[in-house]
Amino acid sequence: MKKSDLILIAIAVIILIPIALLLVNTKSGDKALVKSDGQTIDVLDLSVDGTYRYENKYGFNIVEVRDKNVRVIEADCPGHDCINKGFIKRNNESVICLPHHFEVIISSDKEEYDVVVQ
Amino acid sequence: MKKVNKITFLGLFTAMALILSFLETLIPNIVPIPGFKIGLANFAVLMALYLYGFKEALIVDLVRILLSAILFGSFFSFFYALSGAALALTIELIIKKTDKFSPVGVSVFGAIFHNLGQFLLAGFIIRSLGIFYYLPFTLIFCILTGFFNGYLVTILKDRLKNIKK
Ligand SMILES: [Zn+2]
Repeated sequence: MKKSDLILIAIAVIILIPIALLLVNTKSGDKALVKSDGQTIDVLDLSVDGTYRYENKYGFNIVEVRDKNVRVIEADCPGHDCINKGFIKRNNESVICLPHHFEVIISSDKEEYDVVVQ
Repeated sequence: MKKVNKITFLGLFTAMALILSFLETLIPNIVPIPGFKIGLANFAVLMALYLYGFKEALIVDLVRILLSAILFGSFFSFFYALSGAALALTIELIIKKTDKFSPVGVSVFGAIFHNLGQFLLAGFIIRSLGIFYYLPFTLIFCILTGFFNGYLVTILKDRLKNIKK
């Protein structure tokens, strides 16, 4: 290993670890934006449980809201990566279905991060 | 004789890359990008790059991506894998040429750009930056993998030098 290898890895660690910690400590969101081709087509209130079906020219996705969590439960995409992603709940977290250009992203009107300062 | 030797070893590297690609499919996908991988298979590509050269590494990489898409992927995973791999291999070649980094640095750079390539393509297709939420997490995993790949290549490249004879 060379010195520049160590510098590269050190920079990566210094930048990435705090960002990852910040993201993990993000508060749960209170709504989910449903997007198709980048356009918001629906806004779901996470305090109301339910299942919703969306269809565009690429295919369909069925989204479930349960206990302030969101997931895709059914879709006709190849690979089913969107279903395998499972539940999401944190602010800015998203589940995407690339073959369908479909995305559900958590959002919030409240403050973004948990305050851990004592 | 030399040519037969080279073809044999490139075949071996490709087979190894394919096995590593298969192992990767057993790891749960942390991000919903079809064909997103943490980059274990890049070890075999890096070996080809260090023992032979860019052209040979490109062949190993392309054959691996094509075969793994046919065997355990899909039409979509092929393109995501390809976009990430093309960017990664180009960066690896450039960083290697600068001679400022060992295989560890080259591999880590490759891992970073492999990630960026796939995220940019995904973000472009879906027309949203939402997916970038996952980038710091995937980068941490991929840099770790890249580190170990590069470290192994550092150890092995000198020991395997005589296979070219
Ligand atoms: Zn899907």
